[in-house]
Amino acid sequence: MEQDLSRTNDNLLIKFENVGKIYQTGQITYEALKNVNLEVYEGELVVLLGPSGAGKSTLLNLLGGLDGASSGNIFFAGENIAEFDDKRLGQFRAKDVGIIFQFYNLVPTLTAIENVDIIRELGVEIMDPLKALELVGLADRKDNFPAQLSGGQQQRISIARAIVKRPRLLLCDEPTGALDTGTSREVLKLLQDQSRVHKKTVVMVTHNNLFADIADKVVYVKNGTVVDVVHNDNPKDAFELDW
Amino acid sequence: MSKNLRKKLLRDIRQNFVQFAAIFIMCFLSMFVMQAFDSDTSAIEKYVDRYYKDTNFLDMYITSLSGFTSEDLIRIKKIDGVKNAELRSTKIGKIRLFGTEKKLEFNFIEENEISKMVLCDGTPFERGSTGIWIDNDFAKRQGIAVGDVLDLNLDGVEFYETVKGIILNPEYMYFLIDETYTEPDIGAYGYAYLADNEYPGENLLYDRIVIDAKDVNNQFDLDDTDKALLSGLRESIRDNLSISGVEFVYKQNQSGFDAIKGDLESNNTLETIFPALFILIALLGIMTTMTRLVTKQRTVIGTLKAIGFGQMAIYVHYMSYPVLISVMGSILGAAAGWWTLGKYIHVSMLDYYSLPKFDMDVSYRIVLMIVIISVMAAVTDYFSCKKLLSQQASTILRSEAPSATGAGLLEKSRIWKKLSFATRWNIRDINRNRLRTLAAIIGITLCSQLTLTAFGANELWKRTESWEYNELTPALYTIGFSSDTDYETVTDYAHRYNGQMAMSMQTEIYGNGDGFQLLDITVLDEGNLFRFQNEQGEYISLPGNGIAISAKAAERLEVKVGDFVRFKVPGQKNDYEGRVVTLYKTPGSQGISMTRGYYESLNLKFLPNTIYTNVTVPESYVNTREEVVSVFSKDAYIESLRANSARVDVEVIYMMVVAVIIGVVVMYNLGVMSFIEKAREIATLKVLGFSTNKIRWILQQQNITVTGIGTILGIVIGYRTLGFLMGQLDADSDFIIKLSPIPAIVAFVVTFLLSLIVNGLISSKVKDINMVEALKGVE
Repeated sequence: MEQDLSRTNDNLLIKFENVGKIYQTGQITYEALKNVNLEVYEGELVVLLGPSGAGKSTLLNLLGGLDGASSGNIFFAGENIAEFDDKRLGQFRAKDVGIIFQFYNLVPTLTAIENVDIIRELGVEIMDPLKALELVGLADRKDNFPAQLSGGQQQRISIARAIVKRPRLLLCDEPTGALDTGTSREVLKLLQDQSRVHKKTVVMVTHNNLFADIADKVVYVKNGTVVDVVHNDNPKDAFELDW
Repeated sequence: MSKNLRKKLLRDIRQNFVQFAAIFIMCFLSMFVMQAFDSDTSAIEKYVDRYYKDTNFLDMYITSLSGFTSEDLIRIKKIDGVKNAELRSTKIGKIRLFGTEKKLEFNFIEENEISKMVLCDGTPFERGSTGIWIDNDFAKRQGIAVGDVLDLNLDGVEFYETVKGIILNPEYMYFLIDETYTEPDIGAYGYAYLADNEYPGENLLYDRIVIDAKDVNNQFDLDDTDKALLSGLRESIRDNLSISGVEFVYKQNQSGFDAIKGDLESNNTLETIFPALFILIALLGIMTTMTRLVTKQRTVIGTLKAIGFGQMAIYVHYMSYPVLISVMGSILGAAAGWWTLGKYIHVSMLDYYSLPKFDMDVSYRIVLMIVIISVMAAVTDYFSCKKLLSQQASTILRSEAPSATGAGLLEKSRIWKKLSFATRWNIRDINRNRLRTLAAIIGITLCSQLTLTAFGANELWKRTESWEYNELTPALYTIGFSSDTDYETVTDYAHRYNGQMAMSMQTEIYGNGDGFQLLDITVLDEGNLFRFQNEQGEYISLPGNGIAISAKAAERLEVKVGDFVRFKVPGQKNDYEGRVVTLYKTPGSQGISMTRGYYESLNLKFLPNTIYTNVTVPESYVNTREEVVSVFSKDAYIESLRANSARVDVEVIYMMVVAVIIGVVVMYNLGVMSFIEKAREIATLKVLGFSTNKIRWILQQQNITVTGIGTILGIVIGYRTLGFLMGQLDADSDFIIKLSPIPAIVAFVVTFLLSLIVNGLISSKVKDINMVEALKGVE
């Protein structure tokens, strides 16, 4: 399943320039990222791989504007989001970024469709929430509360919530971390389709090396630095993965 | 707020029902009490002000035993600052109705432009007209109508008058016809107005002049400028009148004005103190509930932030919880307060005050209070959630490290090692949840405090009966004489009834404070039927070398033992002075008392107007003997006190209900919250093999400790609250705040019982706790 990807300045979506992130807890300073340089193009499916504490999630947080960089620049579609204030970052997340969490992070007191529809309240244009649920195959469970759904179903609702606003960037933090193999494949397939069919840029953090096989680009992170970037010209289909 | 967040809000509230119900109930109670009192307080303020304005209520009146002439009136009218003045003669007489005699206060007037009558039926009063204008309440109760011819008796002369009008007069809004009544009995006695030419006797003595001041703008709500103007006017009148023995009564000292102001003050105290306490509990509830809710929803908040919700939107969402609940509770509480306690108070007030119109009202204060409560709820919530909400989305999404708070210094001491596991576990739990523990202690304190106050007030009120009529004035009968009865006549009665003579009057007394106070002077002849007690409740004798002063009068006059007080005696031009030698406590008449010997040593003549006796006095004397104006038996006094006591009983029930609600709500709410938070630890203990009973006992130990602290604090504070509240009841009432152990025991037992029951209910869930679910970690 080959994808036609051109990596030119015209479709460069994200660019990290010497990005650093330092956490300060009392008198303890912890450097989570050091001089990270990275480029991500429109429509790419990027997998961030690395051991626990390597800095993958920090990188993802900076990408999605969930946290601010301590140094360096982060360009998104040409704009330096490292210079954004909280309000601009909020607008950026609302409009351009869809986030999928390891533990789904659905609002437990809202039904499936209400969890998706909540995005409407950000003031951004969204597709019909039912349509988003159809895309993840859960239209028939629209009135169920999260507690009435399986983990895989909850993650699919989470994906529907992320894609309902048609974001340019989908960020996934260990999206299959809490799921069994079969369900994980289904979720990975949904994410892969977002990249291939819907031309969304998908960045996924995982500690499962096998997932590198479905990515267009694999970024290896270790001790807060990007140690390697590998392009995969022939990514596998998610259903071909076996573990 | 958007549709989905609204749904989330409502479902969250449903999931945390107990906590939000507690906040709701506290706000409900707060506005319940406030509206109940305010619906009448604010209304009566408005209606009295309107009544006074419509009738041009007097600003001042002066009285003289020797009487005023038309020349005096002209002189007063010429004084700068006097707008108008009218002569009047006021006398108590009788009316015969269906074979029985009733008391009637007659007013003979020339004009009626000051304190004008409000005509309810008939024709308006005109100068020089014939006939009588009679009190509406008296007419209603006694079945008198316009056109009836009344059989009247005044100054020993029987005469007849046709009813020309049924009226109300603002000066009689609160009306006690003589000292035999301790509170108004509307319609049992009455008042009437007649033109001065209708006086049945030979020479009409004008004993008072009512005055309308030029620049006193406010009628009921007098400010300092108005009071200063009246004070200045009094000096001008004194300078312009050549006669001696003139008594001045400002409008604020007029009986109706004074009574209603006193009632308003005590109502204002009640409508401030209790709502404030309930709001405090509600705010503590908001703090504990919302802190817990946002902590529980940490991931949700982080997610909302991560997916693009702005900080303000999230703040608004979480502030909506307590604001919605507190506004709902406040509005419903105000409505319930209006319909229940408010209506009850309204009916009680109608028994005391007579106005042309007096309906319950909703004042701006209620709306303002609801706004304040909701703002305070929002602000409290803001500070409870701020710590979490102000963090970055990524930080919020990370799990919070568990608190490492231990038991502080205690943990490092030697005692720590000697403590049992349960004690250590509880000390650490309390230290980790200081806010929740504080909220619990405050709630329990309030419950115990209210119980003690309710039962204490009841006991004090009931003790007053015995204090006043067994200890202070044990006489079985009190005979009152008219002011013109001579000394020999009263002495004759005293001999015949083996009674103790007393002279009592109300007059201006000056102390160390500004101006004077209208208080009572009691001068006692020898005898043991009128006694005094000090603040400890011990009997004391009146000093022979000075005066004794009641504790409340001393407070109002700002004097202490050793100071001097100056007082006026009706009919005397000079002021007199006496040194305060001792203080006494009395539940009723506040003022100064002295022996006949001391009074006479001031060159004053002892003119007794009361006799106290244990010999039976026929009540018919009031009708058959001219000099006797009242015969009152101890039983009748006690009966009137018991009528009051029934009202106190209702108030005690209300306070007890409130105390129990507070106790249950606070204890159950915090208990449930504490249990949920400890579920994981309790499950761990169960997994380790602790028996259900052992765990329940550990929980009960903490509960007993917290309840014990709260109960003791409540009893201590309750005593102080009781003293304060009883002091606010009425300017003329006083109590010795000395209680039997019963109120404290009741407060202790009620609070502890509630606490044990509530904790028992909560800790019974220990046996049902799901060890596997609880140990999964996330709530």
